[in-house]
Formats: sequence, C-alpha cells, structure tokens
Amino acid sequence: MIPAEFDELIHPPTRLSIVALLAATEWADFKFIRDRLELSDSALSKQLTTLADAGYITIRKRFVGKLPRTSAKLTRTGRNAFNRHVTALQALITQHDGR
Amino acid sequence: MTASMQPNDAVDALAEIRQRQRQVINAVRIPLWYWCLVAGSMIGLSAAVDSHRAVAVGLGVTLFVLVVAGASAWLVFGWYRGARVHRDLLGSAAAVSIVAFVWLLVGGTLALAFGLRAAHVTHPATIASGGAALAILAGGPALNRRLRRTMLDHGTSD
Repeated sequence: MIPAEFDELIHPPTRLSIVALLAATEWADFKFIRDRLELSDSALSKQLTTLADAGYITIRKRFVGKLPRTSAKLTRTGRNAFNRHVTALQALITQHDGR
Repeated sequence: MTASMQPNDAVDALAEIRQRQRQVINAVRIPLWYWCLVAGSMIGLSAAVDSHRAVAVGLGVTLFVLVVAGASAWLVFGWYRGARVHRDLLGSAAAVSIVAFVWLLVGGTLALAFGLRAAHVTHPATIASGGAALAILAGGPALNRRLRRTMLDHGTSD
C-alpha cells in the first residue's frame, strides 16, 4: 500500500502535468512534453530544472546525428513522491465522500 | 497544504493526471503502417521461399529481418514518438496478449503451410502467409485496442 503524502513541489498545475506525463513514460523528449503541455521552451526548462534540482527527474542531453536532443525521466524518488501524492488526492476525495 | 485543499481540487488534479496518461497512451499506439509492413514482409519472404531459388531466399530473409527488426526497434524504443510508455502501464497481461498473438500467428501459419504442402498445393508458404497477413491486419488493430484498454485500466483511477 502506498502511503498518502501531499507533495508541494508536484502539486502546482504545470508541474503536476509534467510529472503526470513523465509518470506514464520510461522517458520523454523535451519536444514531446512541450507539445503535449503546450508550454514555451523557457517555461518548460524552468520547471524541469526545478524538478531536477529536487532529484525528481533526470535530464539527459545527447546528439542524434548533429541535432541536440533532450529527454527527461522520472527518478525513483520522483515516482514515489508522485504515487504518494496521487494516494493523498484519492484519500481526500474518499474522506469527503465518506462524510 | 491538505487543510487548504478542497475535494474538488483533488478531483481536478486526478482528472489532469488521467488526461496526461491518455495523451501518452494515445501517442504510443502501434500505427497501421507497422501491421501493413509486417504483413507485406511476411508475404514477400514466403514468396521468396516458394521460389526455391537460393538468391531469392537469401535476399528475402535478409530484407525480412532488416525491415521487421528495424520497424520493431523503432516502435519499441519509441524513437519516432519522443516517448516510451512505462512498463507498469502495460503490465504482464499486455505482454501475455502480445506473445499469444505472435504464437497464434506463427502456429497458424505453420499449420496451414504444412497442411497445404501435404495436400500438394503449389506455393504453400505464400498462401499460408497471405492468411497470416490478413490475420495481422485484422488482429493488429484489435490488439492495439486491447493494449490501450489495459494501459488505461492500469493508469491512475479518478
């Protein structure tokens, strides 16, 4: 059973969307995330840096041919935090429905 | 934070998470061109085998391996889609579905080919793989739909 714990870092809407998207993937390209979330390059970079600084994601930069390609992956810490956050959201709803 | 959060906010947050999962699941669907490519390659290989010419067989096997392995790697590793679905979303039931589909195809094709050969029908491999190609074109998209349902079921519930 996953313990419930709200995560203030994940909860803001943009970061929640990014982490939710990454949680469904092994990894995702910068472009994939940007296009799905309809964010600007700078807005996405800023959020990814915040998540990477917290140890929630790893950012990988590599070259495909001559083109640079950046991808992001949720770390075990990030995935656990996300799962706990989801459990907390579900618990809040269950608690409210039970009243 | 929980004190300031309302149940409606939690419902919205879970709906957002679910929507992002759907986006990934929709993006990683196996495209129709993949099934057409595999079906066409099987027929090509079988026609080469039925020709009984060493050069044609060698060329057919090489092309089959290159095309199918290349397209499969392209799909599995998610290079063209920009993301790779997480293994927890697929789960073991999906893996069983994929393996069962492949073995049904292989078993069915071999049984049909040997049956046709025993009945002295000409070009048994080509005819059998034609049947397999039809099964791929019908079963591939059906497998897609099953995998999609499985991934949605494994996703975060609202």
